[in-house]
Amino acid sequence: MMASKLLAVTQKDLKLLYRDKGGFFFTFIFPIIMAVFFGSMMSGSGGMKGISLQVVDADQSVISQAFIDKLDAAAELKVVLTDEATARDTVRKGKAAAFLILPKGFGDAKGNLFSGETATVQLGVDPKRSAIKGLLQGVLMSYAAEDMQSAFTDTDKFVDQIDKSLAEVRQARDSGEFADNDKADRMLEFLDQLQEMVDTDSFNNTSSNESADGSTDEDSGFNGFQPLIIETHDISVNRDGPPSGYDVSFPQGILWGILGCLSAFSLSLVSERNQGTLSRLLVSSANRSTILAGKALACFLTIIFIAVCLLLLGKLVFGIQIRQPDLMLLSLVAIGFCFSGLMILFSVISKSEKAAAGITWAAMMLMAMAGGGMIPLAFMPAWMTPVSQFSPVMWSILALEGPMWRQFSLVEMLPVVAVLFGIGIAGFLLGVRLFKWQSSSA
Amino acid sequence: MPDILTLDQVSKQFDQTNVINQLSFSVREGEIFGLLGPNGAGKTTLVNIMTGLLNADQGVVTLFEKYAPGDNFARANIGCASQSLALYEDLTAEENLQFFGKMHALEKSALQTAVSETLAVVGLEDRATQRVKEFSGGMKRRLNLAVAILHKPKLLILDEPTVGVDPQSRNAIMESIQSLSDQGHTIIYTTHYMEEVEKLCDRVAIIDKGRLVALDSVNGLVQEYGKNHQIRYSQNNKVFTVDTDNPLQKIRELLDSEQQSAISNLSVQSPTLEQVFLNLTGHELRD
Repeated sequence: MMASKLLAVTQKDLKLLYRDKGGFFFTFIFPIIMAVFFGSMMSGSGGMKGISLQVVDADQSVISQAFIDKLDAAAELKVVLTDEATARDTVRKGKAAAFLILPKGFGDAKGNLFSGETATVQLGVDPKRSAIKGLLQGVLMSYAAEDMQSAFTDTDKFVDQIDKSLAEVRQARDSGEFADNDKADRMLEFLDQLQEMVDTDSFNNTSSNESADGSTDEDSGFNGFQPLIIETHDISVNRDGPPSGYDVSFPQGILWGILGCLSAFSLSLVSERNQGTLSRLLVSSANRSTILAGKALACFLTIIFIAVCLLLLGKLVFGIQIRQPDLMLLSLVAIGFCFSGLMILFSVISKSEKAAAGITWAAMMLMAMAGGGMIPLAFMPAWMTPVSQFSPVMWSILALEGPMWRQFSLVEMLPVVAVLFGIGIAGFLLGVRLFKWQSSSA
Repeated sequence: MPDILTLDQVSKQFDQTNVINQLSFSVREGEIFGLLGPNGAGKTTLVNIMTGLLNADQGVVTLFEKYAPGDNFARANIGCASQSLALYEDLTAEENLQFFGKMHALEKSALQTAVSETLAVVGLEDRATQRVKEFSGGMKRRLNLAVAILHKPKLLILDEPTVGVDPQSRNAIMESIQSLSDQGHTIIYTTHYMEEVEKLCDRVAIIDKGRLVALDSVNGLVQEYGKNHQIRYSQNNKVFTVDTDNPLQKIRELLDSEQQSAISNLSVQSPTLEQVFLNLTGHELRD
């Protein structure tokens, strides 16, 4: 008896779920889409060539060009050759993940294995994508080390290197450039032995950084076979120091708060429809647009409140910097407008509270994922870059970062806020139109 | 009295089923007009058409002699208490009234006066600051009615306003409605409770399966469609029931008979709306 009742309830609930198209979609279909989406991103089936790297070749040598060619061929990187000002600006605006400058003398330093300076490059990474900094350093090091290895394994090249180094060290010793001549003699002795080894064909691949007598690189005074020195640079200009992690995380935190607000307000209209208060409002003197605009305004004010509270918290407790308060105000208005409009659209297209919750959270997840709110865009497949342009989250984070540490000018901010206003207006108008259409076709 | 609402050949379909089928009638200013029908008869659909929440597929609805449902004037002069409790549970009674009053464009001082008066009409003045979710079902119904009358509408549409309430609240609601009628409000009252119609309504439209079956005053309906009175009596410990269209004649016959000394518990039941409904539709109201 009890079992049959239990099964009857189960059957009834399954029927209800099946008949609620929204509930059915978000219970069964959406998880599949999510799985496929995450799967394609994580598996790299879409190609991981995605870290956009602005490269500046200030050296203009054969060696620097060869190094750039190598980077360009790398699967992890998408190299764009440009000048220094453009490179810095592009990264500052968040349009590229990092820049790399090969300074003058890079080729000379790289072509000299056993004497002189180690080749140095300058790397600047967008602070909000600091996770890729280590990856980029690793990639650069591995290609530089590859060059060094090829120098060791190519005998002719290696002999040339030894001859060149012997001549340079002798000249330096004779001209008194070495403070300690013993050190110079030890180095010459090492190079002589190395030359003998190569001549007797006993040369094998080695990457040892110990000298023949067991002394360290530092003791012997040569450059230690370090393939590359990577100097990391702050991407922004005229500022006291690099942004802290909070400068990056707070805009994202604000966005998550806004998305939560969007969800709550989207549900409210559906709840009103179910409770009958919406019908009561529609019978009253208020028209449909007024009702929706009232809801949008409430959502807008809540978004502004959330954002201001979080920014104040960030500033007072975590020391985040808002360098252009006037532009920040413009950003907040644009963001509030954008998500209020979207809220109206989401609330109108949902028939039930279950569907509203599903639609809103699905849209939030997609927007956050596509906009880099969950996984940095740099780690996403190449096809995600254009897709991210459609995410209000991406534009909102940019709008928040602009007045904080990207130091956007008003001209640079205008396109960003224009996109946000555009999304908001489109969402609201579409929502109102759908709402009227639903009412008239009832 | 002018007609405050006129329906002319109004029809509405859902999924190819006629929910309202060529309904025509008028409601006169100042009357309590009953819409009587079983669940599923189309009463709520009809209310939604009158208020402009639904569009009729066919026919014309005219309010206040020249307005269509949904027109601003019509909306400003209609108050509707729907069958569902259209209230914000997390607001107090006063806040609910204030909100809906504002939606009807009541000004601040007028609004405060209207809120106080309306709470008094439905007997909730001492509960003004209590949240609705703490109310009993009957109190919610009364507040639901209060929201509908707050802006003093010319036409008040009450859709099953006593569903699911205790007898005490039911009486309070009925008294409130009678009081509103005395103040000159025109009231359309949908219900499937016969006794409410008999007690309140000046005229009654009987609706079944979306069709208008009959329309008249309660007495008119009973006289025209009630047919027989019912006489019940006991004789030799047995109960007898006799249907007759002339009860006086029948009682006289019983009392003149040889068995008259054995007759006891004699009663006469006049025709009821229930019987009228049964006679007109072939089934009972609560089937």
